[in-house]
Amino acid sequence: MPIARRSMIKGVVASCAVTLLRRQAKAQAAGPEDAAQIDLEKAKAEGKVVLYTSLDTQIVDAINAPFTQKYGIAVQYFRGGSSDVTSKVLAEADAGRPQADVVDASDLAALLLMKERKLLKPFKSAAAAAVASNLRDPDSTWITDRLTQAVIQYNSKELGSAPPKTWADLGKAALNGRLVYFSSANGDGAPRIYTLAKHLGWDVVKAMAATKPLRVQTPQIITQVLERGERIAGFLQNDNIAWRSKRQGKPTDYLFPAEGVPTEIGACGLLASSPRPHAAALYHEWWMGPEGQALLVKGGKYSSRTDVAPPEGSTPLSELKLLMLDYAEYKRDKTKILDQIADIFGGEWGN
Amino acid sequence: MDFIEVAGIGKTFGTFQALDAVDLSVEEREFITLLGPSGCGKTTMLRTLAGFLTPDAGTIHVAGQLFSSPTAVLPPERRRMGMVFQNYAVWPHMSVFDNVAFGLQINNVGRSAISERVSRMLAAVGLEGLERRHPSQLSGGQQQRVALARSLVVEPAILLLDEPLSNLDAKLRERMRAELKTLQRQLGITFIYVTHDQAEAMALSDRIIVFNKGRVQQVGTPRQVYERPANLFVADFMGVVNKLPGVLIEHRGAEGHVRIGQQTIAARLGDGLSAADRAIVIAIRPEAIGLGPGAARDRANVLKGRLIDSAFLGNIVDHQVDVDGTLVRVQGDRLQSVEPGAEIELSIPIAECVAMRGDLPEHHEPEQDRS
Amino acid sequence: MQVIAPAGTARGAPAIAAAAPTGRFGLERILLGLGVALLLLLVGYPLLWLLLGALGLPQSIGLEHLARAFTRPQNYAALVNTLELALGTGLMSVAIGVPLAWATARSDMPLRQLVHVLVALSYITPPYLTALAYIILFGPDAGQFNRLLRALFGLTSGPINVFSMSGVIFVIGIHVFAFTYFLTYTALKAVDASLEESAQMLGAKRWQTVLRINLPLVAPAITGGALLSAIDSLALFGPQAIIGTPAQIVFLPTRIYATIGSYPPRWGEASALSLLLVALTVAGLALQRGYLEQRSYVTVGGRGVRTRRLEHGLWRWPLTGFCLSVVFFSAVAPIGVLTLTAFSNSWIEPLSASNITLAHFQAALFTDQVSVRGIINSFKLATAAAAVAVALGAIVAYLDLRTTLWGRRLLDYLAILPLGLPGTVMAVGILLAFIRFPLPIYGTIWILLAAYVARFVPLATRSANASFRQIDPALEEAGRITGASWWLTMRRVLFPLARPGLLVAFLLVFIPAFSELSATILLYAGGTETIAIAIYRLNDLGQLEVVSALAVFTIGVVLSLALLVNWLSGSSWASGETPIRG
Repeated sequence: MPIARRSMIKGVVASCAVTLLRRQAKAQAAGPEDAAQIDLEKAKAEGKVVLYTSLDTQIVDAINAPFTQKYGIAVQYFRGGSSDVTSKVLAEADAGRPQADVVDASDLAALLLMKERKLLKPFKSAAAAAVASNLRDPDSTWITDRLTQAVIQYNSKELGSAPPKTWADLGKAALNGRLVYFSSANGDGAPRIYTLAKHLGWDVVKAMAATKPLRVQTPQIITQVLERGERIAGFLQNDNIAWRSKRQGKPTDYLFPAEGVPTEIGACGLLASSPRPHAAALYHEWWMGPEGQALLVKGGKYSSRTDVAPPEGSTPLSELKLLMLDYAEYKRDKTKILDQIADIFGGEWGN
Repeated sequence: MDFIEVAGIGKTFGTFQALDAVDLSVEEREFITLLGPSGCGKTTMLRTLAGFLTPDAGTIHVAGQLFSSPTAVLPPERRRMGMVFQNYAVWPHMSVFDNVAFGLQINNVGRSAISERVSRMLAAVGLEGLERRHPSQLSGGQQQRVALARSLVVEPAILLLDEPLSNLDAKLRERMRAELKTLQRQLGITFIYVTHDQAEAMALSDRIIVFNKGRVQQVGTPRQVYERPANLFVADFMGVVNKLPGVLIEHRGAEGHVRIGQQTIAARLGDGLSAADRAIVIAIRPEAIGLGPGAARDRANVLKGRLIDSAFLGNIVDHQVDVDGTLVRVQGDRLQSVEPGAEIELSIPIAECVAMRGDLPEHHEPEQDRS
Repeated sequence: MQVIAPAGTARGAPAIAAAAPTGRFGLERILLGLGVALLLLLVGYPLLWLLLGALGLPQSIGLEHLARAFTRPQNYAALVNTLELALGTGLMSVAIGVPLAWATARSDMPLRQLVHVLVALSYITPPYLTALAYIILFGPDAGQFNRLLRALFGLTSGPINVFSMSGVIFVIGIHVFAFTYFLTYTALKAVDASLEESAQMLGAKRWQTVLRINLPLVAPAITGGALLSAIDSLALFGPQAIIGTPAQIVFLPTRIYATIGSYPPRWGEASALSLLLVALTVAGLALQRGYLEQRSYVTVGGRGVRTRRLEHGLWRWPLTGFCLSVVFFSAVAPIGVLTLTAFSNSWIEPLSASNITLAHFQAALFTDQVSVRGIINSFKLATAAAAVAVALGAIVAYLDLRTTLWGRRLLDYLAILPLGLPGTVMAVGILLAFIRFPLPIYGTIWILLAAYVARFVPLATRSANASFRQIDPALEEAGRITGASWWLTMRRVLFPLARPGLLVAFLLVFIPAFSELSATILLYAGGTETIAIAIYRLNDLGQLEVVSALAVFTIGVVLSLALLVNWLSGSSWASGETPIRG
């Protein structure tokens, strides 16, 4: 009797293991390689899609709602800073427990790292035709979804007549104790600061740090701080937040300095280990498609698609001098750069 | 083989030797008492019998069946024993009825049978009408009766009692003592009773087993252990005793002559006294000594002494007599009075003077046992 | 199985079976064994990984992570800041805890009951909520108090900046001073009046009595309390992050969080820093234990102690003012401002009829995805963690009190150990242990459960231990000898009697697990957000009103449960005063 039971248990364990392995194998083998191969029925059968993103939750919610309505596929998302998103993807890969299907981060270096670790799956998006070739991976593992520009935002009641017009103005003594900037403890604010330093020199950055600016943990809070008049000017890295504040009639305004504006490339990709490859690809195409991108723009973001207009009332990208970061270089020198920035500003940068 | 056979049981707690090669046997329906000071091992013995402790050495057989050995222990619930604890251990969250019915319920006795047997048992211990009460509403004596009823209702073969009366006041204790004895005779159950109170032991027991330092000192009827103690420890523990140091100068069969100071008396030789022993102690109970030569009966010793002091205690008078520098306590008659300072003669029957070795260990031990 | 009917038993009823070998008590051994295994897995195994991780495993092995952790200037700064914080809060806890304890324990000050209750309230409020409240109160420019002060004194900026080292010390200090307060309070209550009266009979004046008699008697309690406050402040990730990060001040827990939160995660450095934090904690606890054990003149909890309330005359009034302002800042103001904010349309507008709304509660409790999920997850996790921790605690306590098994003391130590470990440290160990084979539960809700059980099992163990200690073992033995098996005796005797105590244990785990932040922040994933995460993340997005609504809800839950504990502990068998005897 006990022998019989034991062999039965063995059998059950073995068959479970086989099923598991088979499912794993299937999950990785199957899945579309380009937009044309997406099987709607399979996608629906997968039931949901898990997104890791650093985009503002209000925009994510706006993009998700019509998707779920259209396909009946729920979107579950984790929202954090780019570092949160990236470290989570890497940790889950280490654990061998992939949770996410689609990843989006406003730090291209993060996607490059994921690509290097073979975590991203090549996928030829239909959107590729509408996105400039320097904004997408030749190997199709990532594609830019948005461009975010740093701006000078200010309280229009306090500085309405004479706002700081250049990045150098932010380092002037008049703003001592009145400036605000952002970086999470993980150093999310660093890439843009570095872009500025790279193009305009470290002195501009050092002068800003010398005003003893208030550091907040997210860009959203910069705007709040300015709206309340707690600080009067801010080095805001997300033009969309400034755009929204102004449109909501809050006492803030913003401008793009003529020296050039650090641009941040936000990109997305499919995870190679995705447990739901069809739903993931379907969602990716929705996210990158004209409808999804239009919703992104409605939230104040600039789309990477050339066929989608800039946010209402915004300066077109073509009229701005965009300062780009060499992400490969940034990824390589990250620790050194963070050390340098931490030296200048103090505090925690995750270095 | 006797009903309960304990052979060579040993048990140590850390470095403390609680039981050391204990042998004892109990007959069926016997009332047997394990008597000794705290820390002597009597409670350890009882808990080993109950199956709560695993012995380090030796075996326990009950009715020919192996109950305990260092490698095999029958769990307590399968020993068909009952136990009454010093602090009653009546379950505070159950009513009197539920406490008593517990053992029957877990043996799947039918509802009506339970209620009948519980009522009968409660009547037997004098708790009729208190079924619905909770233990917190009962006096100590009543709680002890609940504990008794609870262990007896399942009709155990053996009842273990761990100092069951020590938390009761003196009067109640005497009454319960009598009731316990009656109950045991009626039910015909083997009682194994643990106490440190020698009067209680003598009043109740068929036989007493005196423990000290984890060893059995003597086994015998109450009369045997009182009158013929095996050693000085037993003599001392069983009641007040005068210990007169002397030198054995001659022995003749069961008797010998002993010099005490300037005087010589005849004494019965105690067990385990060898021919080589010279310096000995004579043990004499105070009530065995008569005041004045007139008190002497047949074959009595006479000792000369001087009365130091007398204390009037009501039923008796406690005299302190100086015999060649040793103080002797004499229990006197209240009708007989002597002035302090008077030279007097003490008469003591030879059979009451027991010569024994004086080097037995004292019995006070640090409190390590659970008693 | 051999069954032999015993010969000669009275009334020949059920047969007595043969003795079973001692080692095989069936269910008893299996249950206890399972408990031990689970405890080793949840506490022992992660701590082992902390060591392995610091050595660079599993990628490599060597001392470079340890070396790096101790030589990088960032880490050095974090260490110095952490020590400064501990010292500051320790001193602050004495400065406010001792006068308060004197006032409530020994003076005739009015409102002393209220003060006592409010100290307890400030202690049970999760400290990261206090920190959030302080940003609303003392944000450098927009803080409510700052605006009030500016209006009162005609200032143009400031005057108080909570985003500073003294801000962090203050906010943490008004939380942890409760340790010093309660220990000193208990010690003062335990000084018998006859000790003071003897001094007075010898001609000592009152201040001499206080200085020469009372103070030396309670000094060990004060020192011990200050050390506990300092140790606790080391571990409070929430306020360190919420106030320290904007202030550009790094502490060890926030530093550990950043080394794992930035990419790629640096496990080795995080483990090495965790060990450093453990070393600080262990040193502090050893010192504290030494103080309490060697220099304890007052037997705490001694019975029949008679104390006198001393009349303070006119001094009562400044004392009352001091006490009230302490509890105002530690409990009334933070909870009050969170409540006001939760009900206001906009927290920077003054409160008026038009500015009152329930919309934030609606968002927090019903509409915000993360917040709703957080509430559900926190309830689930706290319930499960409390249940598992109580089961484990009960097993450890049972082994300790009812058996003589070898190693039970060690087990008891293992179950108490996490009490001194910061949540961040536990989380790093758990992360390293459960990210891979044999139990890869990282990214699932189970890893949070594991962390909560590991963190709070000491509370359950101590509580179960106290509860079992009250129950005379003879009650269980009576069950066994009456014929009940071990498990039946547990079910019918021990569990019913211990139930109030075990319920208290359950709540004592539930309360901190419900609002846990410092371990959760390192272990949660999409879908497993808790209330604390929702609060932390929504605060990141600047949604202070919704955060406040969620905070008010959390404080409400925690407070009601704490009141339940108080009520349970004060009643019936769980009071801990009278042992349960038959």
